[in-house]
Amino acid sequence: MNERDLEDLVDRGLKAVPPPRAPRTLLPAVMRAIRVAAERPWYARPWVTWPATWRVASAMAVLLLLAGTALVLPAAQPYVAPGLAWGQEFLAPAAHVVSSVETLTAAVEIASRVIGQSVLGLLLALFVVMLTASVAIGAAIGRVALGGAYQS
Amino acid sequence: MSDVDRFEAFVHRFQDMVYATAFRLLGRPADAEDVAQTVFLRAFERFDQIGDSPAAPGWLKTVTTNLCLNHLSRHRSRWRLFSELGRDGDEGETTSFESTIAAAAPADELDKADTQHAVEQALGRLPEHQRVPLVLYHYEDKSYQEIAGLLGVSLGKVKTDIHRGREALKNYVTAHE
Repeated sequence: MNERDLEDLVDRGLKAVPPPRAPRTLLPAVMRAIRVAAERPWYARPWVTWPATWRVASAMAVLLLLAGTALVLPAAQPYVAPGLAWGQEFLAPAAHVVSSVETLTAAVEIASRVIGQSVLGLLLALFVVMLTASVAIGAAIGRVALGGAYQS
Repeated sequence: MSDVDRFEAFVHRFQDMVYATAFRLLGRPADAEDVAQTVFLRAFERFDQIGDSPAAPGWLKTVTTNLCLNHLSRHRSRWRLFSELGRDGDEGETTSFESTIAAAAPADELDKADTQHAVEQALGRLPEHQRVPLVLYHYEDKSYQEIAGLLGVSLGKVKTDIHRGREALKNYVTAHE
């Protein structure tokens, strides 16, 4: 028997076999799983099913995270840059926002580099942090003391 | 009719087709049911797009096929053990596994329903590397080239495996001729 005859023979034989029927348990199992999935809040469902607004917002948040990572970990920049490039392409309608974020991160990066490279800058940064903390603590103590005085 | 009711009708309409595709590829009822359930869960996520679409059957078959192939590749190490136990190394030799199928039932003594059942069982018992390309060719109308691409194997291997699968089934299908 040549290959063509064998192929035709097996093809006829296989297609003569009635297709197997789905078990009776399949439909109830699917509907049960559907009902469980439907009861989940929207954010617990697959991302593709999220409302469009939240998908854009979450994508922007990821981009900002990538930008922040690029600031903190300069070594990660070669790996982050492709992701940022993809994000720009994906969020073309919001390109101006992405551009602003890039400008801001670049400015922060430059500022941090300038400040970081300067000893005086480091001292200045330390002074600002300590001053801010002191003001915050003082305000908190004052509120407790004055608040206690008014209530007494 | 609510969306859930519409979807239930959708599942009822296509469950046999999806299950049959999965069962033929996987050869195991439990695995086929698991894959079919996953297919319909994915269909529910896209029900707005495919619910009333004439492309729904094609979409379901494609997803079913892809999920089955993913399932098989994840379990390939286990299946390879069973398939290699009876795999021959040279052309023309009949594997011990295929001999077992051929000897399992004297096909010419069975009536039509029994023959069809025997063919179905013989198909399910074929080694995965023969059953899957055979099913993709005869039931899913894929070309040899498409099957080679889906399975990530050479064209020559696809042709060889399909030929051996046909040889193994020949005795069963000739009883009905």
